[in-house]
Amino acid sequence: MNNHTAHLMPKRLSLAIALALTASLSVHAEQDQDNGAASAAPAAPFSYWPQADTERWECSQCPDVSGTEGDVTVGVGYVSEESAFFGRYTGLDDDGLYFLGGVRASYSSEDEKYLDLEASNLGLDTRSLALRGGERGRYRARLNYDQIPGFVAENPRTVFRGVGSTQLTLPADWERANTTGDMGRLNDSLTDIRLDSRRDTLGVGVEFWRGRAWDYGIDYRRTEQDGFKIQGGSFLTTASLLPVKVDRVTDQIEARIAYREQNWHAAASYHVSLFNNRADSVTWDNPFSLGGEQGRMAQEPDNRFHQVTLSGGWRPTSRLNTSGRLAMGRMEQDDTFLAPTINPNLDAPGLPRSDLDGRVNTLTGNVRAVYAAGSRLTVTGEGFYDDRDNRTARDEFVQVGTDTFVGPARINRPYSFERLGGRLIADFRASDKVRLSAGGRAEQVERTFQEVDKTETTAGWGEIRSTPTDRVDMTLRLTREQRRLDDDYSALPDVIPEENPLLRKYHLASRDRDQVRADLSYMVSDRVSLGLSGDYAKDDYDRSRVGLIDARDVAYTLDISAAPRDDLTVSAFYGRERIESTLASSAAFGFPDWTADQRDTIDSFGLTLEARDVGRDGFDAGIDYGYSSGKGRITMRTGAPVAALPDLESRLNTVKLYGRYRVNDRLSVRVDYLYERYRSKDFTLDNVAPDTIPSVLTLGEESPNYSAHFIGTSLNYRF
Amino acid sequence: MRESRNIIRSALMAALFLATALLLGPAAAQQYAGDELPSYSRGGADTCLQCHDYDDSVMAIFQTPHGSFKDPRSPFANMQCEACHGPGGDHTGRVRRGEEQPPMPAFGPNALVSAQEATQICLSCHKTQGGSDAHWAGSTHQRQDVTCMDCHRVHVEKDPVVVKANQAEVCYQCHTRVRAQSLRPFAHPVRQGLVACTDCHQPHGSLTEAMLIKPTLNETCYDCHAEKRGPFLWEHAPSVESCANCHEAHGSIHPGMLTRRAPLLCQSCHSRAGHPSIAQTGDRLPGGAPSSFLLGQSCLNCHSQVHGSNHPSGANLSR
Repeated sequence: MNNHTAHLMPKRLSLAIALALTASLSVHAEQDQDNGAASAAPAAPFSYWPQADTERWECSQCPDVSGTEGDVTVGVGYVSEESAFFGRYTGLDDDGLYFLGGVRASYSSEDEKYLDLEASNLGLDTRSLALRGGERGRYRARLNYDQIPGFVAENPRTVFRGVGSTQLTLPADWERANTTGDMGRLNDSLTDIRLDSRRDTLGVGVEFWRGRAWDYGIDYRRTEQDGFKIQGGSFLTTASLLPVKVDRVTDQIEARIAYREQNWHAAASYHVSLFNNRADSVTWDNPFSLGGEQGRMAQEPDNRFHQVTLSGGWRPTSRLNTSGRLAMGRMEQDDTFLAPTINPNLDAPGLPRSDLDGRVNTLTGNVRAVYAAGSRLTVTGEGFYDDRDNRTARDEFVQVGTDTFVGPARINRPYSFERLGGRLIADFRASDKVRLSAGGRAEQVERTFQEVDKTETTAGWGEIRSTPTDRVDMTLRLTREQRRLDDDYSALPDVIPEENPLLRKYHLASRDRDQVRADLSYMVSDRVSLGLSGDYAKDDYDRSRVGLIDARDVAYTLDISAAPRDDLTVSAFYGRERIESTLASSAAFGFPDWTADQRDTIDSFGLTLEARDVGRDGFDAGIDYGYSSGKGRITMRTGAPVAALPDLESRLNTVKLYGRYRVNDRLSVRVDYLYERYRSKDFTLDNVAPDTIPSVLTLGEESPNYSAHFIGTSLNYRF
Repeated sequence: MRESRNIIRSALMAALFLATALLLGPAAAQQYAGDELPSYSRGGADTCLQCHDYDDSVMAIFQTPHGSFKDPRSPFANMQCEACHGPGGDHTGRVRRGEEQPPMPAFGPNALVSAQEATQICLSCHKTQGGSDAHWAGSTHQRQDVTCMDCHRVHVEKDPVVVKANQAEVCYQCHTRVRAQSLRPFAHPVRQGLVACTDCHQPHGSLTEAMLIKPTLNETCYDCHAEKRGPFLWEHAPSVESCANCHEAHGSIHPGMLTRRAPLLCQSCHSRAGHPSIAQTGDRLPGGAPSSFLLGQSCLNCHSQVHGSNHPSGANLSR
């Protein structure tokens, strides 16, 4: 096939799919209409059971649920301590008072039209609102809005002015210097800044049904991200951490249509995502003597993504179940390029074009067939294909290094990859108490512009599941996976300076992976259950001399759930996970001369207790406790005595208590208490003041540590 | 690669036509195929409610879409209680004093139909979830004998698993390791109830690994992180290929939900002559010789565009 026809292929494919789907749905639409004409009564829903004669089933005792009901919550809360990290995801970042409010209202008419309103956390930055309405069996619509506050930094300080704009400047009396220690105006120029981050999402959607078989829907979602991020901006060998403005909007639309019959269904959807960055660059003054006076960094460019997805399932016989999906997408990006430099003292090189005109076609296909070969054996086969076809043109771009010097040209590498593979699984019920499963998977990935053109991965696994009694369920699964290179690992020629020829990047390297998973659940009684699970995974990169050499992950959890009484439930869990990896590298650009072991150990514990009618009728209470302690230990071995790196530590204790008392049928009082204590040690932040690193002007942020109390009380009135 | 891509496309086109032809062909019924069933009750729900009308856990069904009389897809628009529970003639019939009432065929104590088979009752109506991409048969949950009732509650006004703030608690009953991960300092706000498991996963079965909602892992991530999609002029290959190369989405003790700390994470793939290959030890902390390659944002102090850069001079991801 020549290049011309190859380019036509996606269009042909799209046309063929569109025609096929149209034909398929048209035929069945006609069948549906025919069925409707034959009978005045509405078509019966699909049913597992034989159809009953319901002519005299009046449902006269069924309740009338029309009317309006709901409740309003009003209250006040108090936070004891200001912490950006505590405020992340809670909206409680400031100390002081907060309004607590929420509304829930439902209206339903006799002809089954309805409208539901739900609003919560109205006084916090985690507020959400949802409005849903419609008519049963015909349509429904929704509108929802929610906010998620994020975290950027704890107590940052900066010398830059204009924070919140895309132009960061230095004070007029700033004295540039070679190192942070020599910046005479640094301490006097530092100002405390508050770096917030928030994600607001607005969604609307409507869905229609036609008869029993058709449904259509369209959803729109707008996400706005506002606030800041911290980003390093460099000049030659120096850098500054910058409070960079974030102002992004993403609009997404998804339209879909689905059709279902007794034994098959099909759906088609169109998805578009339009990303718009309203802060598309940041410019900053260089506080160091080295390099140009100003730098400019690009931010994420606007992009567009369109995708058509077709999917369906079909059960031709009671033994065979099939399903498939085909998704065709296109990613586009044509933001106008920034100038190669804003340094007026340099002869800015020309650009080969004014924008990238980037285009990536994506094609993903999946098929699955499940065949019950007998009452005991089920075989599942799957095939998958995933193609990222980057059609972006390659060009030479002369590099202006950090707005300081004109360097050599580089050619962009628009990465493509293609993943193709399949799985086969056999599940065999050896007896009522034992099930044996085995499976295999093969996958090949082809890549462009990378050190490895093609990798092949094969995996096999076996599993035994046993239920020796009605109360015990045990599963053991063993997996072995191998990834091999189809050709040599070849360092890229246009990477300057070149990579160590002994390096093997871990996502491209040969790898042996062994995994073991075991689960045990035991129903001690009808009211108590126990669970124990363990995971072990080991990756060996035994053909890698430099790079990741091996990795291990061992995790286990123990959990218990109990309902000692009808009005009391308790659950608790404990988990430990240890994640280890070994890296080998070479400072001498040759054989490995140092290694690094990283070992993360995380212990977690949780307890939840819910009780109704405690002590007296109408009083409910609950406790939710969570604990997580993480320790990251990095051990460097260089062959010479070196100082050890301190452990990275984090420890969270969080406890939530609530009590609710129902004063009468309509009024209740609730008290909430939250205590959260977080301690962390992070050597990359601790004791790193803005002038600690000679060549990097940091924000002097601290690793988060807080002990915050929140107490709130609220009244809830039902109407 | 181009040649094999075209072969694949041709194969997909052929498979599509075949699938279309099959769709138009005969199909088998998804109906009860067990022993002889009892008869239906005489009065439908009226018969059932003679005993069950006092029970809030039964009557709540009328507050839900399942209790709709108008929606032709609803059980109560047709066979009412017995649309799901099966023919209740025996259960509603007379029994001798002291004798137990025979069970309903499905969904209840001592039901004739197993919990796994009862899933077929739900599936007979719920073939697609609002047109979304649900592929139950052959999914991990189906193969592990997870049933609808393991996660869903039908006789309540609001099924907890469809409420964002409560959903994770239902999933955590089995996924205890993920529950532990959610408490880590750098995790999506699942434990705070602001993100639901179904924002990324399709528990009713998907054809994507880990039952993700989108055709690929990266497309799932881009659904909320569209700024990372690009394409960029200067791409970072591992980021383009899989976000999981560097990130652990269920929670990490490292900022940014990274799997390992920089600079070690970066040095796993970068070992050029010069600064990327230098061992960053405790000697390079404050009080010693503070290193720009270790402290602050480590490698990202300079190479801060790790998801790609669109600056013409950003080949080394520093602009």
